[in-house]
Amino acid sequence: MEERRLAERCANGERPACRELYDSFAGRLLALSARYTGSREAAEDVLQDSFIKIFASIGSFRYRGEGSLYAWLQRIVVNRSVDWLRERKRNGTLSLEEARTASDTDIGRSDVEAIPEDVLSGMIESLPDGYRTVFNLFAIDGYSHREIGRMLGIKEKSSSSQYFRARALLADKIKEYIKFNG
Amino acid sequence: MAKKINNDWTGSVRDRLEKRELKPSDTLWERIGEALPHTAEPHRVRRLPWGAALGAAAAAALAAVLFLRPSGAPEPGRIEVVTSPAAAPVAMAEEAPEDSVIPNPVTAVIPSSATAVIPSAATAVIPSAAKESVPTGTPEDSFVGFQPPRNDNNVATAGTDNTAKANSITKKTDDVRSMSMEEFIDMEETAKRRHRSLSAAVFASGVPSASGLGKIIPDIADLSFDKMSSRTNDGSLIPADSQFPSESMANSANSGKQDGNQAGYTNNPESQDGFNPVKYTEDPYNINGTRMNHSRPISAGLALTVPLGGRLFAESGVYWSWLRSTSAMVSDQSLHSVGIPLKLGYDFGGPGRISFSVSAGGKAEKVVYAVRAGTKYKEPGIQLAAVGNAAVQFNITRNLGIFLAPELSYWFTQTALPTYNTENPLNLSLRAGLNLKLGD
Repeated sequence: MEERRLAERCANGERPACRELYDSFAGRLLALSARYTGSREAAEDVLQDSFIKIFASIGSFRYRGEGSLYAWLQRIVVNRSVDWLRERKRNGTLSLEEARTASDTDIGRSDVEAIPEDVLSGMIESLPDGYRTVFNLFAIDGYSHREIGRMLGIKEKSSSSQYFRARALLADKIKEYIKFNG
Repeated sequence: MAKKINNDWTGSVRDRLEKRELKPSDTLWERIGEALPHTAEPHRVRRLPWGAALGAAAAAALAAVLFLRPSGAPEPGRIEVVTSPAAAPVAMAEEAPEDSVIPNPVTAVIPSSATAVIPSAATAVIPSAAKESVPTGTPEDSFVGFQPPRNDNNVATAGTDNTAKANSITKKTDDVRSMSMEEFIDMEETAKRRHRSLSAAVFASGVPSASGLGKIIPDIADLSFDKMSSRTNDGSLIPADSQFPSESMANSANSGKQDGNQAGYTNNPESQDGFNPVKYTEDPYNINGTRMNHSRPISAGLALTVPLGGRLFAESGVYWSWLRSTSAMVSDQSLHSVGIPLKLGYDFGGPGRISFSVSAGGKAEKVVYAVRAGTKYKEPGIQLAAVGNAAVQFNITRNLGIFLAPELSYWFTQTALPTYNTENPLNLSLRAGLNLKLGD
């Protein structure tokens, strides 16, 4: 069903339309949430909360072309994921790890492309929360460091340094995988 | 929004992971579905037939003007017990359910006296739908789901032909991205409702003096009896509490400077050159030779604004109006009226905390208490006027604003008793008040 029509029917409270929306986007949004939360269970909890909010507020969605519905959903899930991480940080469970001084200059696109998706995703999920969040927001979801700073309550410079540390850590993991798996 | 990501291995990571999917567990939809009836209320998207409502309101107003006339005045000297004011209570909007997107609509209860003037048009204008899906005013009002396309170098661009607009769009997207979820959803609702909130206002209005029409503050000094006076042709003042005209006035009356019609006169309060009688052709109360000094009307009331869709809104409410007059022959005359306006307006929005709007429509007034020289009179008719105003509002807080609105009125129908409105059917007044948003 066309995105605009689907959103309208969901706004009308039509259950089949809500299920169709869920079936169409839940898989991708779950993977998105898992990249942030680092665990499948937490990702599903976040996705559950996100969909409840989505269905409650889909009346405010305005269609702006193909792909706009997913972009809207994505923002809600990203925001909810970051909120979840912030709650963990308030509860004192957010872990930070000092980055090693490994350089990331000696890997390239071909190295990354050789790694299976689930392995690559697992590497990102295994990053410390702070690094993982910044890496996801900047490298994959396209937020600027200024925006990340506002979302996470950190300075822009901190976001930038966290990102480069995340890159170095991830590069380390990639190199290690290639070394042991050819 | 990422300004530029190096064309390196992180780009490959993004390309591989941004479209990755995971299969949710079977119970996830069940958990979401259990929560759906409580959090996702079925909002009926009902498009308000505002076109039909506008037509009905216009037809009702036209019918009222054509077919309703003030009835004949009572015999002079008759004393009637004035009935109590036919107040028009307006039910305020219900509290919006916590999860509803738009608050429930208002129901206006119109008394029977006003119903003849404003029949179902009022309810036709006031929406009965629980929710409507409306387009936004401008694309830049809110950004939902907009994502600038990326080129192969992973640089987010918004088009090459309109860089300034692209930068504006990008900035808006940046702002959206940086919000928390609650702020994001709240921003959507705020943008949507910024110009289209159910709101209530309290206001007062007065008519500035014609000599100082550009004055902002109405000339309320004229309301004082002590200062009200009339002048003879020679410029001498006649005290307001004078029971009989002075001799000079009597001479003036016989000098032919007035026309031969002995119908009542009203003094032109705006006259700068002294006594300048304006013939009052109808004199149902047979008040001959009475020159009236009419105070400028003041009014106060409550207004309710209901969003119609887009930037359109309907406004109604109830107000009290006070018309005071005095003359050399008799003591004061005081008319208290209750009125109901019905207007359609357009909200232009504005920069920062300032917003502008215009509205036009009609109003109906019913005199509920009239007394002249100690004698109560009955004005059985309804006075109708066309009205239009332009308002500027300063938002003190998100939900509270203060507004100033010059308003032009033209009275089609008049009271039998002479008042400022009978002498100045076209008049400019100034409304000021507080506007409170409901349902936010």
